Formats: sequence, structure tokens, C-alpha cells
Amino acid sequence: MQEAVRHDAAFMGKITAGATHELKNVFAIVGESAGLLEDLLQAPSSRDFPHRERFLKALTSIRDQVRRGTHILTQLNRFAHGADSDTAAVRLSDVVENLKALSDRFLRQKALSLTLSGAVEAEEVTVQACPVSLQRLLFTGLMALAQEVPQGASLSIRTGAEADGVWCRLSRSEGVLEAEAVGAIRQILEEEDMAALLQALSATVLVQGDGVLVRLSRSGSTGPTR
Amino acid sequence: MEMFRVLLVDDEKEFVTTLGERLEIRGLTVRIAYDGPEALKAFEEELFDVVVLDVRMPGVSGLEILKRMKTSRPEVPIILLTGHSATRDGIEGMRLGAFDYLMKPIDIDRLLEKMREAVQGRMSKPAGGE
Repeated sequence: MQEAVRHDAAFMGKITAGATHELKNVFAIVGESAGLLEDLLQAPSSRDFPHRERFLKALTSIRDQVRRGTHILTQLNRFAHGADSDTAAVRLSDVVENLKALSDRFLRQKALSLTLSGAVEAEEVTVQACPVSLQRLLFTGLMALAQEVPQGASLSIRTGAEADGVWCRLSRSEGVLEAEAVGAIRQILEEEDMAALLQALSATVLVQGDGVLVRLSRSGSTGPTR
Repeated sequence: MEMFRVLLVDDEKEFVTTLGERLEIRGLTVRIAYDGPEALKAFEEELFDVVVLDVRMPGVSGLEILKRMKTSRPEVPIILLTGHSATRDGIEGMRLGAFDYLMKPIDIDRLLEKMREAVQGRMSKPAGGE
């Protein structure tokens, strides 16, 4: 059964990766077409075109949305390729950047903002892990945290290295979590499927007032758990 | 206004046609090829200052076209276009002699800047030098 689920995940990853590639081509065509219209509207012969400014404004909006869509597709493509291998050397900074892009829609429903602290970009922290399992662990932790903070709160993710492993802290940017919130997050992260996930990733989770601390050993996971 | 002669190679017809039109507005002379054989034919028929080549194409791959072009005329700089998951192709392409690679969708000003660098780099090399 486990093997069948793994093949299903790999299949979904392959199809999703292919589709994101095609969609990126679609965005590229939309972007170039908008760019061509901008070029034509900037020409001296178009100066007297009555709706020139409104067209240019609309084209700027198209360009911005192309950029936004392309960013999401790039991150979705990376996520989909995570299913290519059971275990890989995963850069934590890539994982959290991916997490930020793909969780944005969920966080926006509660008007939450998420920032990656400087250490994330600065450090080249890698861990040997199943990319999809690791992403699922961090996503579950982030969603559990999001559920327990007030509307409009700011969240942050920091990563770093320690002697025998790496860590990732998901927390509120200001203030601490109340005891009730800590308990609720713990409950989610102690569910049966999460225990199996933690074991497969050789990971531990500590939930306290300052957020969710995930620790992983460098040698990492024993394989996927989906 | 730029005066380069550029060969654009990409199987995404609408993308490459529109990009070509935008480059022509900026004064470049553009020839378009939609696949490998067409690109190699154009490359043999005309002299180009720079080639912009998509890495992932059906049939003959961009990297294979790159290899053949570099064998035929190594002095012509080639800029690769890659998708988001094809950074490895870009790096492999540079190992095979590509001037540089850009990720799609491209920013036209960045592409122009890259073309200028490529053409200037070619002109500053001694005759017969690679």
C-alpha cells in the first residue's frame, strides 16, 4: 500500500511538473504580447491614442500578474519535482521559500503575513530527507500555527544549523503564543500520521510559546511516508 | 538602435514571433526558426551576430543544436533560454560553449543587455580566437 501511494505521488508530481512547464510557456506568451502592446503604445505615433494611459495601466497590471503567476508556477514545479526522489539533499532555504509561496493563499484567508528571516538566505543549510515529507511536516506546522494566531498576525520562519543537524523555527513575529494555542498546535503535531512522519524524517518537534521548532538530523530520513 | 542580426530559435511559435517583433522594434534584424533543423539551416545560410536558443524543444534538443553550431562556427555567441526546472541544462550549455543562459519568461531589456555583452565579447576577442 505504501509503495502504491508512493507511485501515485510520483505520478502526480510528474504530471504537475509537466503542466507547470506548459503554463509557464503560456505566461511567457502573455507577457511578451503585453510587452509588444506596450512597445507599440510607447511609439511616437501612438501619443495621440485616446486611451493610451488606461491601456498602459492595464498592461502594467498584466505584467505584474504574469510575474506573480510565474513565481507560483516556479515554486509549484519545484514542489512537484520533490516527488522525483525518496531521499535527496534538500536545501532548507529552498524548502521554506517553496513553503512561503505555496502557503500564501492559505495564510491570506486569515490576512496573515509570512517573512523569511535573513538567516534563511544567508545559510546554505542542507538535510538528507524526502522532499515531500519534509514539506508536509513544515506545512502542517505552519498551518497549525496559523490557526492559533489572531487575524492579521505576522509569522516568521527561521532556519539554521547546529552540531548534528538543522532546525527550522515557525513563530509569531511579535508576542508569544498562549498556553491554549500551544496545546492545540501540539495536538495537531502529535497525531498518529505526524508521528510516523517525524519518525521517517528523523525529526523532532517542540511547541512552546515562541512557536514551533522542528529539528532534523543531517543524515536525515529513512524514506518517504505519505 | 541596435544593429545586431539575431537568430531566434524556439518551438513556441507565438512566443518567439512576438519576441522577434519586439526586437525588431528595437532595431535588430531577426530571423526565426521553430525547430532544430530549421535553425541549423538558417545558421548555415546567414551570418548572425548572436543566437538565442531554447533548450527544450521536441526533436533535436537545444543542447544538440548548440553543439553543432559551435562545431560549425564557434565564434558566434549563443544565449540559451531555459525553463524553471532546466537550470542544469543552462549550466551544461555553458560547459558546451554557450555564452550564458536566461530563464523564461525573459525580460527583454535583460535579453538585450546579454546580447550586447555577447556581441561585444566576440568583437573584443582576437581574430581566430574562441
